[in-house]
Formats: sequence, C-alpha cells, structure tokens
Amino acid sequence: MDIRKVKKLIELLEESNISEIEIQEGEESVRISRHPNGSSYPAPSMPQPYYQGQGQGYGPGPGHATASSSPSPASDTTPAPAEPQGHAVASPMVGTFYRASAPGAKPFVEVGQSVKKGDPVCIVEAMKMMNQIEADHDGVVEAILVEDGEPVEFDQPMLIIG
Amino acid sequence: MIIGELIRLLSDGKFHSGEQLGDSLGVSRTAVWKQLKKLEAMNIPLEAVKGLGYRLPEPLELLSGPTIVAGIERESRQHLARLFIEQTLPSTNLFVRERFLKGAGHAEVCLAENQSAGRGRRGRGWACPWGHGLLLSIGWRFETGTAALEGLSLAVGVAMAEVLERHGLPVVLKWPNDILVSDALGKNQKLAGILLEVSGDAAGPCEVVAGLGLNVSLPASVRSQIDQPVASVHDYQPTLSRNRLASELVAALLGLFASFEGQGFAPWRDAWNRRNAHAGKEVLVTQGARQYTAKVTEADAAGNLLIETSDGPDRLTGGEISLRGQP
Repeated sequence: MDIRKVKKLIELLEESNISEIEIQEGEESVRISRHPNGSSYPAPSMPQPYYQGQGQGYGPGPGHATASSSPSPASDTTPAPAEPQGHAVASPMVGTFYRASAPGAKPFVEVGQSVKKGDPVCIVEAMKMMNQIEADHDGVVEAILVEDGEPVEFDQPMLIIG
Repeated sequence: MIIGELIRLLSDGKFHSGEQLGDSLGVSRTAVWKQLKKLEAMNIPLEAVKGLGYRLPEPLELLSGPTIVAGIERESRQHLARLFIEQTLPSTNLFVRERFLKGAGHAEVCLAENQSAGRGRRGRGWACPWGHGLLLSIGWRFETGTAALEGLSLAVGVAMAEVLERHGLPVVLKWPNDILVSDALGKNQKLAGILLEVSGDAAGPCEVVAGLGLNVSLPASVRSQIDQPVASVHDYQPTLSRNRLASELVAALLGLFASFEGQGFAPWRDAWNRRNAHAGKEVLVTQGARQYTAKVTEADAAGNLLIETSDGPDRLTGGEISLRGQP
C-alpha cells in the first residue's frame, strides 16, 4: 500500500473521533487504531525493543498492522508496509517513569515537539538510581505512553518518536 | 577563568588591594572591581576596607588535587583511575557521565568548587556557594548489570555516614538517599544529598555515576535562603579540612564500589537500618500523583523501603517520603 495513503488515513483518523480504521487492498491490509491512554502498548515481555508504528498506532496490539523491523519494501510477508514513521523508546529497566527532571518542572518533551538524537526525553528511576533516557534519533515526539510517576517494565515503550 | 583565580588569591583571608589583584590577574583595576561585584551574587561574603583593599572575612580552603590524592590511603588509591579538580562545572555528575561517553569514566572522580546546574535526585537544585561544599562524583562500570546494583544507592549513604561520624557528626539517613544530622533536640537537618545515575541495561554492563553534594560550611546569607532546615560539617567540626574530608569520602566510595559487585547490599543493610531517620515514624509517601501516609519500617535486602499502610504492609521501590516540617 502506498505510504501516502497510510499517512492520509492517519490524518483522517486524527480529525475524527473514530478509534480504528481497517483498510484492505488485495492481499494487504492495514489497521490503524488509536488508544489515547496508550493502553495497548506491548506487554513487557515483548522481545523487540523497537517497532515501526503507524503514526497513531501506539503499539502492535492485537490486530495491529504487524510490526516489522525490516526496511525492505512491501512484500507478501509484510502485510503492512509502511515507512518507519515512529519507533518506541523503550525502558531499559524496571522502574519509575518521570517526564521531568523534577516534580513540577517542565517536562523534557511534549507531544509534537522535535527532538534531536541525544536529547533527554524522560527519566527512569530504578533502585534509587536515575537513568536519563535520550532520543536515539532525530524526530518528532508522536506520543507519550506512560503517565509521570508510573511504573514501567523492562522494554516497555514509553515514547514514540516519529 | 578569572573569577576562580580571584577567589584563589583572596582565599587566604588577607587584605589585597585592587591594584595588587589586577597585577596578579593581568587585568585592570576596573576589571577586578567588576569581578569582585560578582562575589556577592555568588554568596561569597567580601569585606572592603578603604586603604587596605579587599578580603574574605572567612578564609576559604580551596580544593587541592595533590592534597586529596595524598590523603587517600594506598589501598583505596590503587582503585582510583583519575581525579579531576575543576573550578566550575554545570554538574560533576554530568562531567563523569560525559567521561563515560568518551570511553573513560571508570574509577574516575571529579570535584568542583562550584556547580552552575547542580541538582539532586528528582532534579531539585543543589545550591552551595563556591568553595563551601564538597561536590563530588565518581564513575564506576559494573559488569553484571543493574540487577546486581540493588541497594547501591543506600550503601553510598552508609559509606558517607561512616566517614562523617568519624568526625563526630550525628548522622541519620533518609530513604532513599539523603544524609541528615539529628540535632540535640532530635530535629533533622539536611547535610548532604546523593544522586546516583545509571546507564546501560538490566543484563549487560552498566555505568554508574554517584554524586554527592555536601555542605561543609554555610554562610548565614545562604542558610537563610534555603527553605528547609540545613546543617553543615563545620557546624559540628569547625576546623575540619575540606581536602581531608574529600580524601576520606573518595576512599570510602572507592572501597564501596570495588567491593559492591561481589557483596551486594547485604553487608550494608543493617548499617543503613541503624541510621534510618524515619524508623517507626508516620510519613507522607509521594508516588507520581498519589500521596498517602504510612509508617516506616525498614529497608529490605534490595534497598526498598518497607512501610505499613492502612491497607497493610507494602514496599516502596520508588517515589519519596517526607516528614511534615522536616527534611
């Protein structure tokens, strides 16, 4: 499916109150869903630290366009060929997620903000040690999936950078 | 950096004329005067007497690398890879983190006279005027991953407490990593804060930076600006040398880090619990947006805090506790 078409679909979804769209074209199908609270991020045991999101798709939940880390173009085995519009910044450890360096301080990033590789995006506190998490590539923060002060599991996606 | 040089010239507490200072620094008297004006903003008290010049009413003992290294006993010194003494840095923790990015950092120690962006755990500012505190960070690379580092943060507090107690300070520890003194009336005052930062993952090698911000002496002007009860080392031990204290703290940290991977938190746990500032006390627990009261029990084998809540016993792995009106 043409990536521009997918983008258009995402825009449509954003402008509406629809929470899910599924489009089928021939053998390919794309399902785009949005979960405002990030409720469908992958289970902590998900082995892959990154996935190619669908813009609004916060995670490869059940029925999502299948995640693929292969950069190869559309093929029979990748039903949802899409450019890597965003990928998740996953927690390196079990801990507590903080959006700001201090309670009441300005969060490191907001949705829609551009970040450069190396910019701090959040902190994970584990065992009373602070782990500052940095953006691993340039992009735009598409989603923040965890509430400030909430626990995170190992490998749990915390932010999507597009 | 001219301000650092100026402070060094004045640190003897003797009078220096503007002209003298200008000659030593190679700048005009006007430039000296401008720099002197800055001292006030930096909370360093300055005395100006017509005909005599300028002096610091309290002499400052500035950091000296050779003195600090010489003061570390041989066994600990063998663990030390490098010691950096800086005049001013955004933060000593950041300095060591950047050393790791350059492929160094392990067993490196950094001290600074001044921090422009010092901060504590959860980012609260840590303000201590030039030359009055010990701002110290140490880097250590652990091969076994973060899981082996349970309780490290608390162990750092114990190691620091043991040094300070040798000099007669009545130290207690606040979970997870504040160092307080308990005054004659049993009131707690904040003496130092510890910030541990880690990078790496749960399974592989990881790099830890432990930072300490300790009040060695606090000018009255600074004390009045701090919104919580604070204490300094010199409140208890007015003549204790900063450099000597730095040597002892560095030695204690090197010893702790070198042994922690093998021993873990177990040998430190009882020592921490003996100093638990809030044992048996009702505290306010803050976790993200949630707040509730609980009674503190003790630290468990992983350095988590055991508490009694209205719903029964619980275990704090993060968040923080506070006691009304006290640090």
